[in-house]
Amino acid sequence: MKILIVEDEPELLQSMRLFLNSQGYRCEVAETYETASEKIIDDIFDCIILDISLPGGNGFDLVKLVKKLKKDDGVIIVSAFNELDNKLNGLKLGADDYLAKPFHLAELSARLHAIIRRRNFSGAEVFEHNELRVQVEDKMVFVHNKALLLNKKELDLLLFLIANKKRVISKSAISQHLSQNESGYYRGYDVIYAHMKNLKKKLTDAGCRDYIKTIYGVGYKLDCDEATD
Amino acid sequence: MRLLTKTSRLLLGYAIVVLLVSIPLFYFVIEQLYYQDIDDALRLRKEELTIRTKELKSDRDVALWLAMDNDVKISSSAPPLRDSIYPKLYQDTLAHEMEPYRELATALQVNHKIYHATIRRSLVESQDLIVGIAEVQGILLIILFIGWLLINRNISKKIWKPFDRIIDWLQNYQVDKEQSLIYPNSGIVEFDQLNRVVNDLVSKNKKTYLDQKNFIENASHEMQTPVAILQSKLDLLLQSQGLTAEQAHHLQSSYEVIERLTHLNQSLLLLSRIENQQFPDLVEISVKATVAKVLKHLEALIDDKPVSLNVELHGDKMLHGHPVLIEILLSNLITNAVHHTSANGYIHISNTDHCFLIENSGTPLPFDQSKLFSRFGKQNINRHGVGLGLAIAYEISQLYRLKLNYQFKKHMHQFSINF
Repeated sequence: MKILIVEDEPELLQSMRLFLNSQGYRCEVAETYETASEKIIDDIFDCIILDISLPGGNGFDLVKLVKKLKKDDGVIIVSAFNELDNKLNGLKLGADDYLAKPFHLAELSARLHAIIRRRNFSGAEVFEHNELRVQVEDKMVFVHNKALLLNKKELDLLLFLIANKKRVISKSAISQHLSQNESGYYRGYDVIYAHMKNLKKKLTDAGCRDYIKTIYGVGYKLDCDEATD
Repeated sequence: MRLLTKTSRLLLGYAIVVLLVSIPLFYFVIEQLYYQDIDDALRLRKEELTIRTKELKSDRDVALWLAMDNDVKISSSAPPLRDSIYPKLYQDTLAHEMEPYRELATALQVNHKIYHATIRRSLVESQDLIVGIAEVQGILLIILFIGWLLINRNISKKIWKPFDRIIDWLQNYQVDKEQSLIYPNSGIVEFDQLNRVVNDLVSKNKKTYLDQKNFIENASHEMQTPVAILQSKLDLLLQSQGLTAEQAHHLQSSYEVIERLTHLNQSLLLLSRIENQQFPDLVEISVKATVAKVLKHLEALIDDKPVSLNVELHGDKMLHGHPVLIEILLSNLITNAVHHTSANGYIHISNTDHCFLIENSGTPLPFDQSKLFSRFGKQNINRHGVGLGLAIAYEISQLYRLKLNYQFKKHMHQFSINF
């Protein structure tokens, strides 16, 4: 999977590159509008992660460029302008997703994963691990081939863990993920505890082993390796 | 009171006073003029009599003359030294009514003898005439004033048209929407001046608004980028192999601080955006549906605590506002109640067409009630959030002219929004 990261802040660029590299993505980077547009013209990417304010130009123009070239690259807009206008504007121009700074790398990875899944697998991705099977696009969960009924938050939580499987997701990232599109809500960890408790209970009640590991109170990890032995 | 009504009223008042004064004045003046005329006629008659009576040579002649002319009487009482004219009533021989006359009393020499003579003239017809003239004059005056008022009203309405246009334009003006300026040419100097001033003001406002908006956006950008970097570094650190419990603990603390920073930043931006009225797209929002939505989000938290929740939603009050803000308003109040209710406490939410009420059990506020809605005014603010939730709720209620009140009653904290 080939990704282009367009971000003028070198430290943030490096973080994204490192994180996505470790997930098996090949990352190209661009720090200015010029380099970004050159790379967009010359190459094909599965997804472009795009900052809006760039030296030498505006990220929205790069979205227009992608659409003008009739390229199929997915686009995630990353912007500190956390305003509805920017979001709507970006999506109207044809961006696939919008992420406001500051975001968690796990969130970015989950969004990236979703876009690539929609483009490459036509949505038929299935996560399967022992007795647990999740049809990601249909949002169906099966334990021992029996459908398990989860509420929206619990399902979101499980899918988020799956999108970041085998890595530690901070409680902070989970809290942000669960409260997205809920402007102004208090994001407390107590909410996550409650959802996590319910999710784990439903899974174990259905006969699923506990694959969700707690990491020293800082986060969680969907651990597919250790439980397989 | 409308300006036109005010000027019309003044004019009408003046017209009534003038009318009331002018009609009797008119009557009086005409009457005086008429009396003068009559008096002149009486004097003329006297001159005539003085000449004519010389021809009467005998008492018989005198008696005949007196019988012929009913309006002249002579008596042998002492003749007046000077002529005098005065009004007098006489019994009418035919109608048996008292009728008004003008009478001239004079000394008249008839047949070598000086008599006291009176010459009179009836005023009956002349009075009808005076009344008639006065009436016609009155009616004319009334017509004149009414016509004047109507014309004045009509002209005023036309003159005020450019003004009404400005008002209309201002009413529809929104600083955040692109709008053409008002066309400054109305043909009336004062209104053109007003248009120009309004255009200037609007342009200045627009500039200030844009500057402020830019500042907010820049501040947001400048603060959120470093926070984003910091957070991404923590995310990387979290993935490192062999993370110890102590390191994890430090990481967690750092995450929490960053979240507080983010939340604080976003809350401050939200507050300034509310103050700048940057939530312009107003729609009708159901309170009932919004409360239900918020409760659904907080379900897990409420169940987990646990608190007992009692919800009574009646009617379907619609609020006019931005959906995000109305949701934040209600969710901040509800979240506040959930956080400040101790385990096994009690929350009661009710909604009618006039009032949204949320109560939660608890102990009295540990700080002054006036600080409740202020920013950062409270102690131990960092246990839940950054202490801006109620300030934001208050700001939103102000924006939409809703009355947000607090009281502590019977061990219950009570927040109410009156619609």
